[in-house]
Amino acid sequence: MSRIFSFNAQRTCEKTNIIFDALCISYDKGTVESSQFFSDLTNAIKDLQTLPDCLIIMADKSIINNLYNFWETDSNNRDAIKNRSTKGGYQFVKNYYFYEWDINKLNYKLFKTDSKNTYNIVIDDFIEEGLKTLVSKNPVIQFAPSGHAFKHPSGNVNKLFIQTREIAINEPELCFVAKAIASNIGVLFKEVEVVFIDTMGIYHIVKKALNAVENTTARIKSFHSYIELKNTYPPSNNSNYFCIISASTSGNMAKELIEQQKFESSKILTLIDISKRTEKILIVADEYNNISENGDETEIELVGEHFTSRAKPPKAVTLSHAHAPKALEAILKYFGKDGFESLNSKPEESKESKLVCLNSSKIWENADFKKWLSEELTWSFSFAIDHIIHTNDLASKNIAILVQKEIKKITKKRKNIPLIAQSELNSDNIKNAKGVLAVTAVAGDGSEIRTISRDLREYAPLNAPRHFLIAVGLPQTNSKWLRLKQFLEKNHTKRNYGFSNWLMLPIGYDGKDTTWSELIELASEMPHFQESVKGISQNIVNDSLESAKKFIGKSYYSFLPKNNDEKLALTNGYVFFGNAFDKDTKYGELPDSTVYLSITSVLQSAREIKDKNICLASTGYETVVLDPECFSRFDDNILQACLLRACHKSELDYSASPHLSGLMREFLIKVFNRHAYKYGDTALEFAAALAIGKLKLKKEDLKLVLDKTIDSLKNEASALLGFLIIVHSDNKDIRLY
Amino acid sequence: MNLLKISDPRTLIDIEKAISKICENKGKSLQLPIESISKRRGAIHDAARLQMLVTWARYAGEAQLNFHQNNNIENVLKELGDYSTGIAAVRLTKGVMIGDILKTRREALSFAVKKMQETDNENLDAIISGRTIDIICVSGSQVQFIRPLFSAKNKVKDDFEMQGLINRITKRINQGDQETIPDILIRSLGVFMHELFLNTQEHATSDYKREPYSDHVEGMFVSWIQIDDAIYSADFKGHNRLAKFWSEELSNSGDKKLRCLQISFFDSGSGFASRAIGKPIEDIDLKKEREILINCLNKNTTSKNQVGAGNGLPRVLKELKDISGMIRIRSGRHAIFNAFPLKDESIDLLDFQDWSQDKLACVAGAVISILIPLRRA
Repeated sequence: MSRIFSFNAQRTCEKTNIIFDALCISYDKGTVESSQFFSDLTNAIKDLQTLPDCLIIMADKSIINNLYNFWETDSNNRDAIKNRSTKGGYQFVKNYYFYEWDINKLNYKLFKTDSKNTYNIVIDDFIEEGLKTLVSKNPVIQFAPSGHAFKHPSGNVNKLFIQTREIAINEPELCFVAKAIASNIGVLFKEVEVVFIDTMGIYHIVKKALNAVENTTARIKSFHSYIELKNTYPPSNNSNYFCIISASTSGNMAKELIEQQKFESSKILTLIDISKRTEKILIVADEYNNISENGDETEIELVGEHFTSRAKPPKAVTLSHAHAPKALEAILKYFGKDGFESLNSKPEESKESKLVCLNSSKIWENADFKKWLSEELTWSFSFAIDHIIHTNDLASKNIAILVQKEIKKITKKRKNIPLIAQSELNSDNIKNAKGVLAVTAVAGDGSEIRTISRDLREYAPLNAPRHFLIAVGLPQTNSKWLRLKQFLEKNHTKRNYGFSNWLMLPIGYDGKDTTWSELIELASEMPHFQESVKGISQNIVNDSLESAKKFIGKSYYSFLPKNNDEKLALTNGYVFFGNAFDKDTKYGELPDSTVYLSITSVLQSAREIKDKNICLASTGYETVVLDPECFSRFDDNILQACLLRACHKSELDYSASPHLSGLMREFLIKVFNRHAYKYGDTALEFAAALAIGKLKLKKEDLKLVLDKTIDSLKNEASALLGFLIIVHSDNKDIRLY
Repeated sequence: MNLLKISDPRTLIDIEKAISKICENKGKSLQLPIESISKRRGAIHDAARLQMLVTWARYAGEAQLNFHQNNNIENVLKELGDYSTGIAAVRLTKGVMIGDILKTRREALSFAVKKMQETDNENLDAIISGRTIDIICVSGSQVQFIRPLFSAKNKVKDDFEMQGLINRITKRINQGDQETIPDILIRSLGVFMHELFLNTQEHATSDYKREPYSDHVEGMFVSWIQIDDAIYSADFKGHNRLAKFWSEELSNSGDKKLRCLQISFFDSGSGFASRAIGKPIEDIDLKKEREILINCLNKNTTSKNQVGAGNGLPRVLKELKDISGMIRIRSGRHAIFNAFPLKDESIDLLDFQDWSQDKLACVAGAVISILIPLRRA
């Protein structure tokens, strides 16, 4: 159970004009022991993508005193944190600020800092960043489903619904928001006798905010949106009051309270709005204010904050040409034949394996890449660049060498620009740089190049321009790529740092929790299963489970095989390959990873496509699933397997739709009954998807599938029977312990 | 005959000999007396025997764990299911043969249910035996993320929570003698347990290629057993510094038995060096392997993909130095140690030496053992 809410916030220091990252850690109430405090700091640092420049610890007075005392006296733990924050002998984290909640002034004030103050900290700026973090991380902003718009109680119609009650999902977050409210309102909050709120949905937040004020007896009165608004007036006896509005997309409620109900403008605070207005707003979520409706959408009428159920059946989306991502054909053309390692491979230089792993040596050998690089250098690079840094892999080094040669050729200088490997980067070899180029061959979500950017902030001269070159980007999503680009480009000046990228293809989730790892987890549970199935001998049950376990073990770098143990393979004529390959290419000989890449990138494109009618992303109001039709349209065994593995669980959950579930039932019965024939080549993959709960049908449909299948398999042990026995257990935990 | 017989290996020297034999006979079924699995002889020796069995199991393929036909089947299965060494051996193999009766892994594991549930409930009275408490996490079981060690799935308890556990464990294994455990020791043990157990979860649940193991175990032994010089002294004579540490602590205790707290952390992963550079151990030169192993203990050397990682083990060593303990690490083809004698500040945290001069066979997994002499005030 967490005691803290932590977030990273970036600001430009007014004193030094340096951009710096602050890891902010806010405590809830309650006692904290020394080892808990240091564990909290450790975990918060571990959660970041790069080391921060300083830590800001915020807590109530009684707690902060202890925390600072721990910091002063527990030298072992303090040194461990300082070691963690040090790299190459450099203290990346330069300051540890301790801020206490001032119960008199209702704001945070500096309690202590451990050393000479490096940065000019404006604590309110960081609180604002923390609130914005909460809005983006928690399900606060809800978008209307395709073809729909929300009709707000104000009468406003738009595509957004702000659920302020979701802003805090645990107590440390709630404490943070509460103090932010109290701080925003200021000392006036201490005097209030009544706080008006527009919905009981924010009662807990306001109550907590009042807790941040000592000895308050203020009452909270809800006027339940527009229903009671017209009957609500400020107290007539000069008693102090305040009004807190949960959220607004138009500012109408505040306006009406002021103009019609005679509330004082200075005594109204809207917690979240999408625009700045004359009234007080705690969080301005202006990144959402450009989402407008067309005017011809079906309206969903909102009353209060309680409309979150998904009454509509899921919408099914069929994959088509429209979902083909722009860069897919080029990526396939250059790397499709032999450029991708087996699925789940670990590149030699990497600490982790990757589901989709591009063999980066294929990039710098590529003629089209060289041509692009040459043009990019001519058109886009600063002539100030006199140092090149590359990530530690060989391909990045070779690209850096190409760049080095090309720059020498263009500038006609006799000397080469120095190359520095990321692992060798330190203040000595970069301190005299006038301009720096950082090169990496392949970036997923860009952890290596981010680290270089962070290191440069520490080691390189402040005013030396920087340029980041990523040859091929394979991020999970477009938006993650955009965030990476912004991270690399942003600096203390009005100009952006340079950014060049040859090809970029979002490939969907490729983290640790994949279908492959879920299957390994299932395999690991199998020795503990104590399942018996009526009508099947226990030996056959046991042997079938062992057999399924063995097949999972053999398929970590690929897919579960056909009934005859042969590999799944593609046949020619696959729509998403377009013209990527020459006519003589036998698709069946292409690596599994190439086929998987095509499907996973198409699915990701479908999730992020702008046309909401064919968009695969669910919203708070509409579930979107993959149309079962896709398994017939893409009926090659390996394509079916790729779809099953690359889809999110929610995209294969047909349990809320009798129609779609029925279609899937009929399809599965055919696949399982014909498992020995071509039609049923993917039987093991479908059975495995059911066994790990990735593919879901209505209960009665699933029962029909099992009744019609298990009976024909029951006389002989097989992996297929093994998986179906697990499905048969109906999601009950059948482990003995 | 495709059966390797090993008599009860008691000392670390015996255990290493047995491991060598196992490595020379990969894929053979293994027969050994049940007491060599079930007997409690202290955390250091029991973890070493567990590592011996894990090593055999990792090479075993379809081979089975064998026991002589004179054994009572139920007794053998009960004893296997009652201690981490036996549970680990059963979990990582296909089955157990008692005489010519085969018991499948599934059947054999059913005898571990009580032990696992009592451990999950942290019922220390039920799991203590001979002043030893063992906790094992078995992959795929309902209690894989066993509650005494985890606060949630994949979330190892923090130092503070671990301090609470070690406090309860030491109180239980040392009933009536509690005043000899200083607070600083409890605090340090909390750090060891958090960091070393976290390490097993980060490093031992997948192989050097990062392919997750479906069958793996991790855990710990804690014991408060006197180490008898007459039986075990040779184990501590492989290096001058080790021998000095042993004899000094023995003379401090004024006895021929060393009174100490031992904690061992074990896993069934690919070992430090193999994991660190992503290659099978056979592909690494012996000298290079040692270098990598030492390097793994160094600050900011980590195979974790995490900001500021690589500080766990240095932190453990610092704490260990403060309480003048000894650490032994057995991984791959090396056994190394560092010992911090009382009132001697001169030993560097990373001054690791070879435990013995003997050539060692390649073990599966890693065992980190810590020995803290209990010195009377």
